[in-house]
Amino acid sequence: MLLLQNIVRSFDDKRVLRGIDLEVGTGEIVCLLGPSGCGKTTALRIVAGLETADSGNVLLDGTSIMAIPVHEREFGLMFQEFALFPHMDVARNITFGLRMAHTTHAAQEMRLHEVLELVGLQGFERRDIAQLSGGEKQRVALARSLASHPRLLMLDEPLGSLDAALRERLVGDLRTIIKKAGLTALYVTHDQREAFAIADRIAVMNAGKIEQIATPPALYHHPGTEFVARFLGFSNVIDAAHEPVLSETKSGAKTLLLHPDGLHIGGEHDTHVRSGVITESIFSGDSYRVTVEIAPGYSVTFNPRSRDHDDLSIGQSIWVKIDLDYVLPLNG
Amino acid sequence: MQTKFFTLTQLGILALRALPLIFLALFFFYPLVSIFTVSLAPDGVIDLSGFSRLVTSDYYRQTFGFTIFQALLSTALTLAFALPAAFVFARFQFPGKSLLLSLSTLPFVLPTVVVAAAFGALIGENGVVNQLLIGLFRLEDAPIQLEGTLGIILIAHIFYNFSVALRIIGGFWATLDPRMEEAARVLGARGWQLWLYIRLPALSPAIFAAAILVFIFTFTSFGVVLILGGIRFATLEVEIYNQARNIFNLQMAAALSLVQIGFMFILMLVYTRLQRGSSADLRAARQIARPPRGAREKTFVGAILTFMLILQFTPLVALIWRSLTVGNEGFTTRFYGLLSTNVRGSVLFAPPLEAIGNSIAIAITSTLLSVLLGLITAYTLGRAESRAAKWLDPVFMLPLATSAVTLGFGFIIALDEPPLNLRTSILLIPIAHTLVAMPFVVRSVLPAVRSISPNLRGAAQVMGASPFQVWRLIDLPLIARGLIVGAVFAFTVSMGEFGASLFIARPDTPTIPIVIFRLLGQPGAANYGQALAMSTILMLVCGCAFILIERFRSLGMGEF
Repeated sequence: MLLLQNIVRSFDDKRVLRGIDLEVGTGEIVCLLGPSGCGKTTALRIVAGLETADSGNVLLDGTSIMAIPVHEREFGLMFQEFALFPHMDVARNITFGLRMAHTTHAAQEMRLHEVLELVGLQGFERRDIAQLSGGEKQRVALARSLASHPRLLMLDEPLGSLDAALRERLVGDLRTIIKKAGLTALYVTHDQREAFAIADRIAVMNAGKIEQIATPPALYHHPGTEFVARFLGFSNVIDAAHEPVLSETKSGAKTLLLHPDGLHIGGEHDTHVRSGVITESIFSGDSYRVTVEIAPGYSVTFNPRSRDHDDLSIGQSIWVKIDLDYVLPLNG
Repeated sequence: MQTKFFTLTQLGILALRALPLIFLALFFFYPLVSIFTVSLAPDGVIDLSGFSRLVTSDYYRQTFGFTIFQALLSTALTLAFALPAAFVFARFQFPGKSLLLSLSTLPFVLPTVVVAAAFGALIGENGVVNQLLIGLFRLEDAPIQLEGTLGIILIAHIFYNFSVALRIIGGFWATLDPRMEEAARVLGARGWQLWLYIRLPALSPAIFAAAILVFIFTFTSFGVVLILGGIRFATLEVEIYNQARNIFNLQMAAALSLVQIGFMFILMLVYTRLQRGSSADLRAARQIARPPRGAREKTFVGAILTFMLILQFTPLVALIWRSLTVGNEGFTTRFYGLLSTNVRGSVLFAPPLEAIGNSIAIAITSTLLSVLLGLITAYTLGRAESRAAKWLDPVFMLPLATSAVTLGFGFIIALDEPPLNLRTSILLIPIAHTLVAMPFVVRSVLPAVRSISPNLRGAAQVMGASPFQVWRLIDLPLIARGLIVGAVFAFTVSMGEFGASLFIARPDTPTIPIVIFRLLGQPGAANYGQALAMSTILMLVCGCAFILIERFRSLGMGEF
């Protein structure tokens, strides 16, 4: 089990990490999710030992690892650009860690074939790094970080340099492989879809702090803060002054998220309906994306299914039905 | 324990990083300060008589004037020849192009004494060309009388700098968008208008950068002027040598050195400013280059390439040929044999072959020193993101901006008396050569060091490599090519170094270039033949080094 306790780090008076607490259970994949510059990579590098913390502690299975130099931590790390050694072939890249640990030649060979099979690259041993495609490089980098049976696997935007289509395909494989190897993993990304697909739990970071830790479904359905809601792409963050009644049902929260999944087109006589005018309507296949102005400075956006509505055009007046379960109070 | 070990390592790294700076301080800045002292206050009190003589005397004004005049003329001529050649290399594709391009850098590694000897062998009084003409037309006297004239100096300068200008201008040219010209054509521009309004203005940064570099090289020309120009011509460099070595007027030599140093620093400053906008790799040329079409284009390309081949290779062939045919005996290897004997009454104290041993020993020492110091410097400059690296970079390039003669002169006035008396030390020449060679090592290794992603090192560390293992298994293999190129460069520079060595080499342990110089200055076929034989040997050594460099070099000339 990996435990981060109140990690603080500044660069040139700029506080990059302002007290990070995080727990990663054995065999769990935890994802640090946040915009660039939020400190997620610094946190990962501190765990790896490539960066030092100003204060705080990192414990692995109950023992502090702060004093252990990088090369004695027995971790695995996968970088965004993969950092494959250009002067070694696939086999020598993958067995690098085993050679550092003075593993026997036979054991190296055996492990090499094991991990190559795991990532589906049998027969690639003698390939040059320059000959590999982006997806193959990613697999070699993964195999390399798995080969030495690391006590902790860290992945720093491991799919960041691949194109979107490839990323989508590989993210599922990545989770399967990590789970098959039974590894504890810390995964850093700025892409929420990637985080949803790979993580057991997600820690959303903002400006050096963790804002919320939750499983992917809990995070999606119940974002806890305004930052998390906006980062996940929810735009219906409204001032409670527009909805005093709804606010009261949520113990008087100052800011509310009207989750788009809880907004539908209704009729005049439904409960909790608001009348409004469509100010934007975009057809996108299975659904529309409509923005409705309910009052000056109070608009909501949601996605009605297209098969239920023939025509949703700008200027049309409609009724918006609000599902109370999807009205979420937001902190700070 | 952990933290204490860490600080000790840090201390060690700090000490290692300080080595090149200490070296520069002792052997570059200290002699430089001595030049200042000797020129401004030779006896401890300020005495500007040296400078007032510089300004008032016609002789020194003429020397200064001639230095600038020949440099300007050499630069203009070099550009005039290099511009059409750059056009050919940028716009046309032809068989053997890349081979010819890499061969054209050969003069860069050839020692000045070899080039001087080669041009003497080609177009000197008894040179190959004159012999051919005499034989063909049954003439009484040699028709070409270039020895001791400005002409032969200019030709040698063009030989040296042609490829420098070609690389800079041609490389830049190849990156220019050809559609710019097409647009101008569509708008009605014709031949000369294309040159005047499109090509020359677009090329001007590269032309200026090339011009300043060629000007720097010819402004500090020493060996070529001293050997080919005879006694009639003296550049500042030659005059410094005369004053210091022949007239023993150290104050005057120091004053001249100071003028030289000031001038060079200004030129280097201008050059580094211009270079930023004009460095490019000629290899990009393939994208827009096409084979020449039609008789006119083919003739033009053919003429330029023939000129290049004649300029660059006939002197070298003539050198080898003459080294085997000097005197009246026809074809003979006698002069190579003579190199191993100590001729009585010779100007030398030892058989010339011993100089080869000296030169090799010196070159190996200089190579080791400059590789060690250059490697440390490259890491200091390549890994520090701080402001320190920004101002340290030019500091380490300063020795390049200082002529070899000034360096040598600085050595004899600073290092032959306490506190640092190295007059009799065998390390004096290797130290001087290291100063000249180290910048080449730094320039060869630095791009490689900079190109290593920090994540590569991080990945190796996480997988269990200790800091030393990271360096040995990741850094070293990745910088090896640059390191080898730098080492071979250093070796070649040391083998051919002339200006500084002439000041500091002891009479009984001369280097190859010095032996060649002394032999060239003596009358008689035997001396001349030996000089040519020795030059041929040196040329072959440098030629081999050149082949090694070209094989290992992955980048163009961009860094120089």
